[in-house]
Amino acid sequence: MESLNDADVQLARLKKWLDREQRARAESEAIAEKALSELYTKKKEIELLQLITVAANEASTVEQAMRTALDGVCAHTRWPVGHVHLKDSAGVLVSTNLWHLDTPERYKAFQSATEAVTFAPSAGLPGRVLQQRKPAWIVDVTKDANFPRSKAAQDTGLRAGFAFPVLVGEEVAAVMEFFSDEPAEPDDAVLTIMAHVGSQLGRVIERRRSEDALKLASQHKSQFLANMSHELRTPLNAIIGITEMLQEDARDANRDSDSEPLGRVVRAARHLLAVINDILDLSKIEAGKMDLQVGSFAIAPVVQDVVNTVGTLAAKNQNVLKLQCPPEIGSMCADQTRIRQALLNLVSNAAKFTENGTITVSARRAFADATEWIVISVADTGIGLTAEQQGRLFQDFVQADASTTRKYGGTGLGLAISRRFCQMMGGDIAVESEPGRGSTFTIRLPAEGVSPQPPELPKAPSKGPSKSPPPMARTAVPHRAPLILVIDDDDSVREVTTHFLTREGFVVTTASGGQEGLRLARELQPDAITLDIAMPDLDGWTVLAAIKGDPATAAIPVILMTIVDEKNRGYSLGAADYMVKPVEWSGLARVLRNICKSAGRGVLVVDDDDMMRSGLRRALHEDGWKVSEAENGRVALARLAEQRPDVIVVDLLMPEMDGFELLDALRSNAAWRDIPVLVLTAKDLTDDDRVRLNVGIERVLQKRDRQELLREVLDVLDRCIERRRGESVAVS
Amino acid sequence: MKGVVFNLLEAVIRRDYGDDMWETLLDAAGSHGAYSSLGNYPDDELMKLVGAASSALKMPPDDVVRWFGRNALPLLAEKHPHFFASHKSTRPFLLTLNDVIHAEVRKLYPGADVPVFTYDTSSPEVLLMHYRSPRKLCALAEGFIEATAGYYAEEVSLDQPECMKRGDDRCVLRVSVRKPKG
Ligand code: HEM
Repeated sequence: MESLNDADVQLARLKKWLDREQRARAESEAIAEKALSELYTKKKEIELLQLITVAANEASTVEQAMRTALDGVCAHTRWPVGHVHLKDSAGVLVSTNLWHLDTPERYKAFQSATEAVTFAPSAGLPGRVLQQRKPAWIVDVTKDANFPRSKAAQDTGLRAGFAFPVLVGEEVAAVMEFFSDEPAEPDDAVLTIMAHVGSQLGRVIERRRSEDALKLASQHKSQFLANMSHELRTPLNAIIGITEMLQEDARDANRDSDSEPLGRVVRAARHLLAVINDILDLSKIEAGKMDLQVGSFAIAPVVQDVVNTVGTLAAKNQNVLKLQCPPEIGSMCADQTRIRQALLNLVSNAAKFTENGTITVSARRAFADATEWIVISVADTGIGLTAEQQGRLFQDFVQADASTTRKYGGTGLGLAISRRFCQMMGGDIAVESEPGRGSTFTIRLPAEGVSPQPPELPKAPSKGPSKSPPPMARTAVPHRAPLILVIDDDDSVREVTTHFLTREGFVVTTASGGQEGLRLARELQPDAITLDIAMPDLDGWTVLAAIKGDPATAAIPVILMTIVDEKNRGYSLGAADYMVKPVEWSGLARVLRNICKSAGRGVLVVDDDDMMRSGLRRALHEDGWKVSEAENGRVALARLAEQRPDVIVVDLLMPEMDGFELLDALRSNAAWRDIPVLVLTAKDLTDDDRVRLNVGIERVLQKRDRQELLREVLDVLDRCIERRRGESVAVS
Repeated sequence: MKGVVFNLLEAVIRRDYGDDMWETLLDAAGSHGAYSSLGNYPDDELMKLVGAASSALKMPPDDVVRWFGRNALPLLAEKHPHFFASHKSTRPFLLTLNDVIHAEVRKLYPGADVPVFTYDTSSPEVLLMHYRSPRKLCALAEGFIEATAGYYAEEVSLDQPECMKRGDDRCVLRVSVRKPKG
């Protein structure tokens, strides 16, 4: 009995104990679960903060960082709507296009209601945050007295909302707001973390602002430099032009004692100009305002040309200049002018710093990084560079040694500029050197160029078929020498230009302003116009637009002559060419001659040899011809039917329909009979052949050396056009 | 007060006075007796258990607490041997209480409200530990310290020139430790 009772007591005690243990265990589990869930939330918060910190550091724009924050906060809170308001200069919050919308369709009404209004301090949820500079929470916006969008919220089913400021220092720069589908009590953890988000984003804005300020300062600097160099170049132009004129006169009168010092003035002035140009180039590159004229061109002629240019300088120091650039290297896509400039810089540096040595310029193709590269190297056996000098070499405003500037001249900017150009084209310049043994500079450029902006510029408007005037149109003033109209407000420019162009065999008329220029262009129908941009009455852009807009003058090629380097604008307005002052007279004369002799002239090239055709096309094109091509006689006839060329260049031996047959076909058609024909052939002509060719053939050229042949073709074509012009003038 | 303290009390009572005694104390204190080591329970509940033990064992409450501390500490040392292993004697161990031991306790038992001691180490023989806590558990500290000396096989003499229980605004625990002779 006693023991039974004992056992009962024992059992009851154990049961109690078990109950207690179970309770304690349940409690432990609850504690563990709560701790885990808190841990999870903390982890999520950290992830969100990390996401936003990374975005804040790495996003390239403020918008991008804010967008990441919007999406991140919405994912964290699982709230469907988030939006950013930016404070404008008036201190009012303006809606942005930065939204996070889980289902955009559904919240459309709320979105438009938001975007329709601005929020002044204390107005609505964003306004409240703007005023108090701290987060705000609304349990249910549809029941809130200060929530102007409550109707739209009601309609779209939005209830709870919170917003927090993006603070830059003490200033609210933006407000981010979020909405949920359910009413919700304020969540301290969320609000705390949002304060962090806000300050992170604030840092992004702060950084952006200081970057903008820097950029603006740099733009001001560039603008200042541009203005300054304009101010400097204008008088310098006058000095160079007038001095050249005086020098010319002195030379003509055999007054060498006068001519020599004048030559020195011109050289000094040109050097000064080069320095100014370099500084301007560099500041433009820095300001991101340098535009490239990317196009496809044959490499060999460019390299050859540079080598020719430097020839004299190299010879002066008893240097041998070697060129290794096979024509098979073909073409590349880049800014030809800039490559020429960079290469010229390297080769002339080599020539300057080498005496009794060898300078080797070589160009080749190379494959690397899945890209085809054009590699042009300039190796000299000159004084070379120490490692330290090499390091400083490409820095702006630094020459290897300050004393070299004095000894060898130059601004020390050339290399830095050249390198920037190459970098802009996706390549670079590198140097290898050993003091006393020589240096090798290597230009490396992608053969296909970088993101080729399509500069399909209407270089010569007269080339367009609709604008191409019949040759008879320009007969108002009978003249053999081409007439050039010079429009410039600067007396000295007009005087100097007239002087040089007259010497080059042009007839020149001048106008001192836009209005007068337009009138003369209409009356005289000149063969070409040179036009200044900065003129007081009507600026050059306006004049250019007026010339191109008037059918009576639209076809006249216009060459812009200016200090302002805005090529693209010029070309897009229909300028035929663009020269930056001071004008290189020989260059201008060349351009004008090209324009005047073959403007709008069409030539048909008939040859089955692709290489030959493309060689001719390039050469003729450069000379201002409008080229059409055919690979045999039959295709040629089709082209003839489309458009009657002014001249035909034809090969004799071709498949399908050969040159002889084509010539027969031409002669039997009255419309084509008197088109001048130039025959190119590799065939040794038999007497029989000669008889067949005898009639109506301008000239027969044997295909031998290609360069020479091209030159001859151009010559013959020029002469034959010249003759026609004389005829047409005479006819009138 | 952390549940772990209740667990310790339960363990030493059961061990030294039997299961029935713990049941008796719980009943007397009106406690459900379910304590999770991680949970937090009212200080008052511990004091009621101490009061119940005091009546049942016919011991002043402070003596109960001191006894508890003396007996609980070896259990703590068993559970967390590394706190003790890094020292060879009582004094350096006591000096790490704030920075190491109770600092770790705060991590192991979230929400633990451990005391912060300030030390007067001007004498190499006598260590003065200043204690301030609304719980006024200086007796617990005494028990812990005595047991710690036991752990390192040292002799300790302890008294309190100042004590909150006697109306001072802090307790000063005067600790002098000797290596046993022989
Ligand atoms: C001789 C060394 C020690 C002394 C003098 C000491 C002293 C104290 C005192 C006086 C309290 C009561 C809390 C208060 O007064 O507000 C306490 C609490 C506590 N101590 Fe210690 N302690 C020592 C060592 C340890 C060790 C080694 C551990 C564990 C590894 C530990 C864990 C705890 C825990 C868990 C509490 C309860 C805290 C709470 O419930 O909020 N102590 N200690």
